Amino acid sequence: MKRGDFRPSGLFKALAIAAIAFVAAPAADAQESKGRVRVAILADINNYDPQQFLTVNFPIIKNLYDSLIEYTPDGKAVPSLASAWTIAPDNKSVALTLRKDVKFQSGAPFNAAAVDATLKKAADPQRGKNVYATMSIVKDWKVADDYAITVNFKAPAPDKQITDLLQFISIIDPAGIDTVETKPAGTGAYMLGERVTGQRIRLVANPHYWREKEPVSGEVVLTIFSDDAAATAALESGAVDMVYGGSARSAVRLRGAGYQLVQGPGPLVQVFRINSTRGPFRNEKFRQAFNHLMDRANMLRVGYAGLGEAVALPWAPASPAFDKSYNEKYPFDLDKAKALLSASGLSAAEMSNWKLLVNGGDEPSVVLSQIVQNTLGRVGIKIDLDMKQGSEFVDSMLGGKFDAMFGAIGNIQKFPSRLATNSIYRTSGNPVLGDPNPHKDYVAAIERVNAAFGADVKASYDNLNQVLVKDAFGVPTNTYDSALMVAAKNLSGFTLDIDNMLVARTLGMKP
Amino acid sequence: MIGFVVRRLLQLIPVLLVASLGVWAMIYAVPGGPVGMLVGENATPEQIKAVTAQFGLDQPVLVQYAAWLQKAILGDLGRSIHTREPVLDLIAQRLPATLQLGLAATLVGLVIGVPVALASATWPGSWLDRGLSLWSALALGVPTFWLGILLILFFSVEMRWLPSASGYAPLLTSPAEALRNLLLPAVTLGVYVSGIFARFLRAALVEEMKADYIRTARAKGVGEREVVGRHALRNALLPFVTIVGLMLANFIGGAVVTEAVFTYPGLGRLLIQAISTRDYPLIQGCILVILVIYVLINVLVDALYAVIDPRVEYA
Amino acid sequence: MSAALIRHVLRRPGALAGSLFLLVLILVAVFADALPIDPLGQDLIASLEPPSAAHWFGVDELGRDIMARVVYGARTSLFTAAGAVLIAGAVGVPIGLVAGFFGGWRDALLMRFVDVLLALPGILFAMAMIAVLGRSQAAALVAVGVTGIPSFARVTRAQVLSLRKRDFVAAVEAFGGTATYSMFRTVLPNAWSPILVQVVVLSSVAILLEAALSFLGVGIPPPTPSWGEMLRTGKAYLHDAPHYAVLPGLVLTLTILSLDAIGRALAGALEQRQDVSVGLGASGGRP
Repeated sequence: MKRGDFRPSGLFKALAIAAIAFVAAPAADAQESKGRVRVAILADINNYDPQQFLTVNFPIIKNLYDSLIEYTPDGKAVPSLASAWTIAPDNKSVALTLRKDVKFQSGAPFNAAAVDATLKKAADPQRGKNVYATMSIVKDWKVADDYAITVNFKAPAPDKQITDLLQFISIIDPAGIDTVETKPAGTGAYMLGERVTGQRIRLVANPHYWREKEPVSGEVVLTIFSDDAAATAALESGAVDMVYGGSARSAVRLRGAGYQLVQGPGPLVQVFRINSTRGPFRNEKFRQAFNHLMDRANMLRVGYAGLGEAVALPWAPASPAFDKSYNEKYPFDLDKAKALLSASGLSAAEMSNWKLLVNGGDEPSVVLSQIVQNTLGRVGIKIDLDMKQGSEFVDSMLGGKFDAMFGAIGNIQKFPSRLATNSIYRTSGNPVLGDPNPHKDYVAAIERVNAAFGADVKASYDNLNQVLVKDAFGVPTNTYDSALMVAAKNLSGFTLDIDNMLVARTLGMKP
Repeated sequence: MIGFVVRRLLQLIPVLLVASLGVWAMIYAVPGGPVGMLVGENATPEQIKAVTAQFGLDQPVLVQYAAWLQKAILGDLGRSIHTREPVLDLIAQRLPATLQLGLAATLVGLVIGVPVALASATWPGSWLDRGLSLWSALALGVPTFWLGILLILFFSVEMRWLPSASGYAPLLTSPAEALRNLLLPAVTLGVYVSGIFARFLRAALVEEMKADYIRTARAKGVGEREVVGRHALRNALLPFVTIVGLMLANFIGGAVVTEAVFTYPGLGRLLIQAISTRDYPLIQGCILVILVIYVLINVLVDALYAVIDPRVEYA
Repeated sequence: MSAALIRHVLRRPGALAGSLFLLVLILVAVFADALPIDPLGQDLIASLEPPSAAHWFGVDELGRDIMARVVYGARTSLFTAAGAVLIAGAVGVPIGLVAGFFGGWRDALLMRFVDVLLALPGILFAMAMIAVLGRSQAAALVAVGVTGIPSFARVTRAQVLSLRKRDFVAAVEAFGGTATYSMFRTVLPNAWSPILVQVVVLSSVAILLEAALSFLGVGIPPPTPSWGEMLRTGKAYLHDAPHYAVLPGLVLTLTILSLDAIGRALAGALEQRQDVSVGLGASGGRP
């Protein structure tokens, strides 16, 4: 073959690019005029769509976008892009008044047309992503004028469910709504400066931001670290000012070393998820025994360095359905567990005929699973761990291909029926338990919560809690922080988001 | 010479074809796919279906392979399923870090290994030789991940001199930062290869010492140090260059354990991550690049032969 | 192995010490059940306590006795190594034998197969295999075993090639011995010494590889004790409990060093006895 036949292929192009990158360092940006905050995050973002609430997107959503309203850390609704909202006396609609002084980062005005376009996306099963399920209570909406819009509901909706929805919706620039996954289009305090995939995201202050004196810092650099140890090392060496979403163990250690530890109001709750369509788990008494087989205090201490609370119900303290008495009613107690196990009528062999699926990539899950396995051994149940990682684990989890597993659920600080957006707790289309949902009492309890007004509200929550421990297809163990913030001493101005998303607009370095 | 190099590179093509087919076969055999991680836990079945179709993952495996191959031949390795970035860009971001660590570790290995071998071969059987062979045994026997942990414990946790996790900083533009980050992983890997280098070079030197020309040199009254350092070394260098090249090639992708200890952003970890998330185009891209570099280094080593030993012909 | 060979090996102090250490390790691993130790019993309150009179190596995050886990981890390691070497030998030796004995297209085909196994770094190859097989003790064993095939094949082939040139083999063939007879009755019995060295070398490679896979989180799944897994978890607790990663790593290192010393002594002894050239020990990196 002649020499001329040889053309540089893509691989050699890659080598050439690499060679150039080898020589050329990323140009150090000297923009220090209004201060810079450097944040370590532990995973790259997936995209810029504010309707995709993947935890990896948490560092940017609240910085590139604003939602219609916000919650204070204790759950009180406060204005944001909507300056006022009025819920109709019959709870069948909410009238919104929008701010008039807001512009999108593109320069386009923020108005009712933008809210209309955003709601259309949210209500579309293809484009609505994580907001779609929440939109199911919405019948339609009407634009009254440029700055007023009314949302109508299919049935009377409880106040908290309405404000949850408003807080959930971040407004997207109609002109950029089709390309929002790859190009941010919001009103947020920060604009995208630069993104190097897998390495860093640089946010720069939005000069026309509507909140006064915000953002405090001119620039926020999110650097992606491959793991907790690397991020922690960067904080200790002064290369970053804060770690967002690090492990509880590192956080506790760093707190001891004088760093600030900030915990948000929106924890997750770890749940022992039970596939009640399989093996011994079809037996209700057998399932109920697991209420007493969870060594919650030690799970929290060893798995999460004690940062969180042991809980027997899937609620954060801020939830209206939170009920502390269940912790005493359903303690870790092997005698009570044994009584339920023998009441189940299952043989020892039947009781041991299952495997515990474990997310090998999540250290606390590995710890919790080994603790349960050991506890079960003490009551005569011998099981194996089925360790899976990455996609293999996710596929088993999503496909319901497991007997039991630990997995965290969110939205536990919001309206209680939001519980049903989490896979194992779904009332319909449940990927684990299938359709129709075998737990009829649970489905009815969720429906009652959705329809409860006045005096029945408290009773509907109590009923739901009783059903949760009776059906016992999900056994909560403890809450924990999904997004701990550990910061250097001279970082100040933390704004706590109800979902523990990163809110950078008030962050600033003290001199 | 150029003809030889071009010929060797052309031989790469069937190897890459077979390898890419092998990888695709593996993908077919491995349980799980990339979609679950893309759509998240609370996705609806419709969403999952849409995303599967979007990436052509609902097509038969052979059709997917053909589509990939068609583009790959034109130099387009596709985009990562997870980050949507071109695979080549992702690899190009990691490659400098991998090369930098590989070269630094090889350098450390040579700086330790060559003097050890020379001293051992000069006085074979002496207490010095025995002491130095113990060093080689230690260098090879101490697992890199344990040595790495010990170094972190001492230099990072106790003394707080160096970072416990190493990022990548280019040596040419930010040397101080690069050294701080490179020192521990390069020493960890370098100590290991120093054992290989020392053992191999010593064996080659001792073998050379039996040759006639050495006897002649000694008879002429040349000092032992010069006999080893000049005469034997020149001839032992030839096979030694191969070993050095082979080790360097092995570091491209094969240094995953050290990369994991120091959370170093190398190519090996990128591949592991790609396997874990079933990012098919990225898996293909990483393996192809690792193979290409492996072969390139081998070609380079062969070419070096000619420089060191002009008798080698490229028929 | 002849008594003379054993004596020869044990005359070296390093090999003697290594043999003693390995002997103790094997005995402890085999009779672990008879010892008053429990590798799985948890005492969650004692989590990460440093070494003490009650727990010589301290306890891990789940309050398990680390020394007990190191002992049972030896069982895991040795079992994996034995199984992996068996697989590698059972496949690799016949490949090398046939390739070296018959040469020609058989040689070309088999050695090409071996080259394919060598094209990727062993650890990546093993990880890919585990991805296909799923994470289990069996998968780790097979993955480590398969990566060992090339070295057995190459060593056997090289030895067969050099033996074929020898007079006694030629003599058997000249007197009308069949190929099969010659291969199994004259070549193989005389090729075993470098293979024996390879067994020792590969045992240490297998133990290291299994530990590395566990360290990367794809080896034998917990709660089965494994040295690599202990190092992996221990690394996460470096700040709180340095003993956790250090002590299991020490035992792992001593095991590798022992095997290396024995392997080199064996190679030296055999070389003296019959002037066979053997590989370079754990490096095994000959092109």
